[in-house]
Amino acid sequence: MDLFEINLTSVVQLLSFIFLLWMLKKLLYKPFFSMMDERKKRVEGDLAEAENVRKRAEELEKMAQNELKEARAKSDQIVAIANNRAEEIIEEAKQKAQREAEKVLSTAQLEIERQKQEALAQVQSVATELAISLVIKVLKGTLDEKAKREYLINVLKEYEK
Amino acid sequence: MPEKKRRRISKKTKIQLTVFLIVYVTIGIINVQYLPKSPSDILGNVANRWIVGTGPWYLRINPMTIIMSLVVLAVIIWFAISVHKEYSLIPTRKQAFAESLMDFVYDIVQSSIPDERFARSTFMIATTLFLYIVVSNLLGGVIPGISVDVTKTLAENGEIIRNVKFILFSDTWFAPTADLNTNLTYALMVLVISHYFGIKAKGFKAWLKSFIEPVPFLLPLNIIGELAKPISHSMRLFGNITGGGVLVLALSYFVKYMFLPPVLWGYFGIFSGLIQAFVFSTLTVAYISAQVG
Repeated sequence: MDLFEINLTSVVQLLSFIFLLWMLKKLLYKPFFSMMDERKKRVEGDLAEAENVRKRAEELEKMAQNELKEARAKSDQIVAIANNRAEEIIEEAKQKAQREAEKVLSTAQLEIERQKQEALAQVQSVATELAISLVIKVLKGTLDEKAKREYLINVLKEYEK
Repeated sequence: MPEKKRRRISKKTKIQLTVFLIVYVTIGIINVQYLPKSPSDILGNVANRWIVGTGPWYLRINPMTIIMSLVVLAVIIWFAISVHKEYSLIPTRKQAFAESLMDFVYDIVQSSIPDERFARSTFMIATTLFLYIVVSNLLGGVIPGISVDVTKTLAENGEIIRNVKFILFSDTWFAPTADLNTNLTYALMVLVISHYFGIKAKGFKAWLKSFIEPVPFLLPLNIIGELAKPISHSMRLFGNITGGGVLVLALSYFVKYMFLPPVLWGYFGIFSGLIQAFVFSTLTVAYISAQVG
């Protein structure tokens, strides 16, 4: 039967298939594989680069965190120093103010004392003057002017003692 | 909302299609007078093939299979060259189509044969077979062209005389896959390649041992199983394509070759053609995988 006859055609078909395979290998498959390999390489390269970038980002994050920690510690230290210094300054200011106050107080006391002495001296002088004039009035006529004065001076010396 | 862009047929294409239709219908009308008178006449010659030469098998040849095979080869190589010309990392439309096709086959191959050594070779064989069978089936199932009607008479000396009548555009091209020479050759080639890969992968002793597994008692069955592979592999494709062709031929006769029922044409030409090509190449991968794995 013609339908099932196997003849030289099969050899020709085999050769034509081998030829087609060879042609397609050259024209399609090789470029396809090289493109596939290149794309794969590119994707792998990109993935590796992404991994590197991720690692670098992690490192940078770690570094940033460390720096942040250090900065925090440093700032805490600075704040502590500043607090101490502020306390010292306040203490110093307090002491200075106290000293000033004490100084002002002592100056004021001295001034008061001086003014008191002055006032006392003035009172004494006025009193003396009054006493002299009173005595002069009392002794008017009994003693001469010189005797009155000597007497008064003696009285005053006695009084001063 | 932006309007959907409609793809319009260019003026050039319209002219080409009109010319084709006029030529097709005219030749169809002319051919009607040469048509067989009854369905039995046309189906009577269905099993006949144009065979040239007499004597032993190596002196006989089927010219239609060879001619159509060359046409198929020309179409595939033309496509491959046009893709190869503009091959780049960023694919063009043609390259994307070719790559998606190759990716599709490569995925099947890789899932069956993980070993890269055999995967690439298997991929090349399976893809070449797929392309060859697809183009062959599509040419033989869809595109009207030259077909032959062969009548056989017996000479006085007992020799068969074949009268060949060429029919233009009334029938589809003859598909090389409708010839058992093509299918059986490719199926046998797959069998030989699968066993060659099997020896390479497992070693000669292990390959030989695989015939007496799981028990030596099954040796004859294993051998028959292996021999049955190319027969079923080739007959499946041959039966589908030849049967489809006969069916289309018979139905076309009833409509006097004027308008072939489009659904049937679509089914046997495109759907069945693609399915059979896919089945053939998938079985190729499966047979190789069974030997390599």
